[in-house]
Amino acid sequence: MNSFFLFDITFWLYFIAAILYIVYMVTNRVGELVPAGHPDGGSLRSKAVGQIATILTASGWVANTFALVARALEAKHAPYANLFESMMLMAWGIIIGYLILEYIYKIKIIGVFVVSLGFLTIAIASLLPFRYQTVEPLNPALQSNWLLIHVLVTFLGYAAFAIAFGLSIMYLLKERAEKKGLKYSFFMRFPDCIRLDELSYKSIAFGFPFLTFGIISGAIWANYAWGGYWSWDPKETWSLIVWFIYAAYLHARMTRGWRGRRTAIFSVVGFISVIFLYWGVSFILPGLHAYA
Amino acid sequence: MNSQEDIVIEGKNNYAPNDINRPVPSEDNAGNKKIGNGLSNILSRLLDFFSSVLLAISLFVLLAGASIIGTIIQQGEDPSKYIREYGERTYWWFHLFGLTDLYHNWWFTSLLVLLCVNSLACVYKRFPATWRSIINEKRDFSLKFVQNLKNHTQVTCNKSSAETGREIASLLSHKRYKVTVKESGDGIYLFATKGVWGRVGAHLAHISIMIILLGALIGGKLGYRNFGVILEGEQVFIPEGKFFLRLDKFWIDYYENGAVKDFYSKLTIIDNGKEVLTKDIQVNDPLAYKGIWFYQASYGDAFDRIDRARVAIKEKKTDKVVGDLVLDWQKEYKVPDLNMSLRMVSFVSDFAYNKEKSEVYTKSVEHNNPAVRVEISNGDGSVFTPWLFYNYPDLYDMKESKYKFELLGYLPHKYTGLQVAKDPGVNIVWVGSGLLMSGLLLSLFVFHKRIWVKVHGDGARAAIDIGGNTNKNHLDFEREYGKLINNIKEQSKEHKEK
Ligand code: HEM
Repeated sequence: MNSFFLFDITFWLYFIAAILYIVYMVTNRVGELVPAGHPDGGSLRSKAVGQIATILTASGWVANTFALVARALEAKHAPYANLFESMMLMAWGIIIGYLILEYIYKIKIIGVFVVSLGFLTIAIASLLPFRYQTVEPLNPALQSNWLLIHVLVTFLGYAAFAIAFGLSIMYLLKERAEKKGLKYSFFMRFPDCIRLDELSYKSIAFGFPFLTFGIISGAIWANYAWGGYWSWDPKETWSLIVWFIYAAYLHARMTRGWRGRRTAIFSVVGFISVIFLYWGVSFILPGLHAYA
Repeated sequence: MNSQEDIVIEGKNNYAPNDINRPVPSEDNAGNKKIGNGLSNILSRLLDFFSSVLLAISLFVLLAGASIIGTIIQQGEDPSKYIREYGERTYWWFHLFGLTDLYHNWWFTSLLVLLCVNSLACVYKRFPATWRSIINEKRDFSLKFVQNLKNHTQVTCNKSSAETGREIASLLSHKRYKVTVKESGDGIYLFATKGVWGRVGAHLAHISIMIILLGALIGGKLGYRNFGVILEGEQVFIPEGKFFLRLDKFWIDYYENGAVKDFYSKLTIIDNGKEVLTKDIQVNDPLAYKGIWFYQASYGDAFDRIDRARVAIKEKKTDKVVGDLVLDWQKEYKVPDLNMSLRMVSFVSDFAYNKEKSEVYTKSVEHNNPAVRVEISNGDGSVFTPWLFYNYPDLYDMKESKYKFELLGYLPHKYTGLQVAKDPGVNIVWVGSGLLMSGLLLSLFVFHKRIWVKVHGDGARAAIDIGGNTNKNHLDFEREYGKLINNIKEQSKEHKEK
C-alpha cells in the first residue's frame, strides 16, 4: 500500500483521537483523583468517549507503524532520510510513549496534551513542501547501521522530551488554576500536581539516556564516515547543549530538591531547545545535518 | 482496592526521615565545622566547593551558553571575514576571548576540566557512603524502626507467624527481592532488598566524564587528521606508519536515476616490501592498519592525465571522417589505412600557455578547457604534436597535413580522496561512553528498594508490621508497595475462608 495513504489514515485517527480526548476532559466533570466508585466519578458517556479515544490512538499508532514500514519498503531503506520521515518517527515515539503512560497510570487527561502533540507533529510534517516528503535514495554517507540506530534512538529521546513538555505545561496550568482558586476550571480536572511533576521527571529520565546514546551513536557513525567522532558542527553542538540542559535539570531535581514550577519551566525550556536542535539548526545554521 | 488513591507524597523531600541513605546535600557540610589546623580546614572547604552540585549545575548552564555562542559566530574563519562582517572593534573582542575558535580556547577547555574535577570530587566525597550502604544493608532493625517508616502498614491474619513469614518471604523473592530472614524470641524479622547497584550508577556516570575527556585529550595531542588523493595505480608513502598505500582501483555505483549510490577504492598496504592487506573501502567502511585509518571521503578527475581519448580523423577537403579511434593513455595506436600512428602524450584540464617559458600548463584542476596532446607520426617520418581542444575543435590547423584531428571525448582518470586519521584516544572515548551509558541506565532505571517486615504473634494469629522505602522513583515504589500489601492481605484472607 502507498505510504502516503497510510500516513493520511494516521493523521485522521490522531486528529479524531485528540478531539475526543478534549471532549473527554470537558465532559468528565471531576478530576481523575476522585476515588473510583465515587458518585461524581465521571459520567458513563464520558468514560465511553475516553475509551474510544484510546482505541483510536492505538489504531492510529498501528497505522503509523504500517506507514513507516511501507515507506521503508518503497524507499528500500529505513525511514529516516528526510524531515518528513523523521517527523513520522517522532510522532510514532510520542504516541507509543503516551500509550504506555496511559496503560500504566490510567490517566487519560494527559492525552489532551500529548496525543495532540503527536497529531501536531504529523500535521506539520504533512504541511511540509512536497520536496521534503518524497522518497529519496540515500546518499553514500547515510548508508550506515550506526546512523540508523542514531536516528531511531535520538527520535525516541525527542519523543520522551515532548511528552515531558506536555506534562509540564499541564503542570503549569494546573498550578496556576490552583493558586487562583479556580475551582471550576478545566485545569482542575488535571491530575494532581505532584503526579504531573513526577511523570514529567520520569519522561525526562527516560529521554536522557536515549539522547545520550543518540549522541554517542552519532559519534560512532561520524567516526566511520568522516574519520572523526566529534567536529563541533552546529547539530552536534546543539545536541550537547540540550544534553547539558537536561543534565542540569536532573541534578537540580535529584540533589537540590527542585520540584514543581521550577522544574516544569526547565523542562519547557529544554523542549524548546530540542525543537531548535531539530528544526532551527537545519534551517538556520549551516552544517552536515542539513537533511534532517 | 485502589492503592493509588491513598498515596501520600511529600512535596519537597521524598526521603523518609529515617532513611539512612538519604543523600546529604554537600553544601550543608560546610557548616560542620571541623576542628583542626587551618590547612585541613581550607582543604575541606576546597573539597566542598569542588564537589558541590551547585557548581555542577552552573557549569552545565555555562557550557550550554558558551556552546550557543559558538554556533552563532562562525568558527575558524579567516580574520578578514570577521572584520568584514562584524567590524574591527568587535573582532578585537572576539580575538581577546577566543570566540573564533571557541571550543578549543582556554576558558572553554577550563570549564570542561572543571566539570571533570567537579564530578571526580563528587565521587571522592560520596562514594564511601554509597559503598557502605551497599555492603551494610540495614538487616538488623527493631519493630520501632518499621513503625516509624512513612508507609508503615499493619496487617493481621489468622496464621501462625512462622507460616506468614514464609509466605511473605516467598512473595518477596518472587518479586526478585533478596530476602534475609532472622528469627528471634519476639518474632520474625524479614529484610528484603533489590536494585542496590542502582546506587553506583551516578558514580559510574561521573567517572566516565573524565575518561571521555581523557580520550579526547589523547586524541587531540597524539592524533592527526589529513586529507590526500591517490590516482589509480599510484602508490604513496605514509610517513606516520612507515608503509606504502596503493590504490588498485576506484569505481562508483549509481542509482537508476543517476544519483551516486556509493563509491569504492581497492586499497593495498605494502609494508616492508610485502603486500600485507587489501580491502575495498567505501563511505562508512574504512581501512585500518597500524592504528591509521583510511576513509573514503571523495573522488574526482585528475587534471593532468586521462584514461582514454576518442579522436576523429577527417579529410580536410571533403570533411569526411576517415578514422575514429580510441587512444589509451600514452599507448601507440597504428592506423594502417592512413599510414600513420598516434599516441596521446599529455593532457591538461584547463589549458593555458606561458609565453615567456613557452610552456603549456593548467590554470586549474577543473575541466574547463581540456586539451590533449597527440603525437602523430606519418609514414614519411614527419612527426607532429598538436594540442587538440575539446571545446574548440577548429583552433589549430596543421597546414602540412591533409587531415584534421578532433577530440570527440575522453574518459577522465579518477582519483580517490582519502581522509587519513590516527586517533589513539578514540577507544578510550568509547570505553568512557559505555561507562556513561551503563551509569545512566543503572542510576535512572535501577532503584534501590528495601522492605522491612516484622511478623509476630501467638499461635494462630499473626501481626505483620511492614514498611519500605526506595532511593528514588517514589511514585512507582508506592504502587508496587500498595500491591504488595494487597497481596499480603489477600493471602491472609484466603486462609480465613478455608
Ligand atoms: C558531566 C556529566 C554528568 C553526568 C552525565 C551526570 C549524571 C548523573 C546522573 C545520571 C545522576 C542520577 C540522576 C538521577 O537519578 O536523577 C547523577 C546524580 C548526581 N550527580 Fe551527576 N552527572 C554529571 C556531572 C556531575 C557533577 C560535575 C557533579 C558534581 C558534584 C555531579 C553530582 C551529582 C550528585 C551529587 C548526584 C546524586 C547522586 C546520588 O544521590 O545518587 N554530577 N549524575
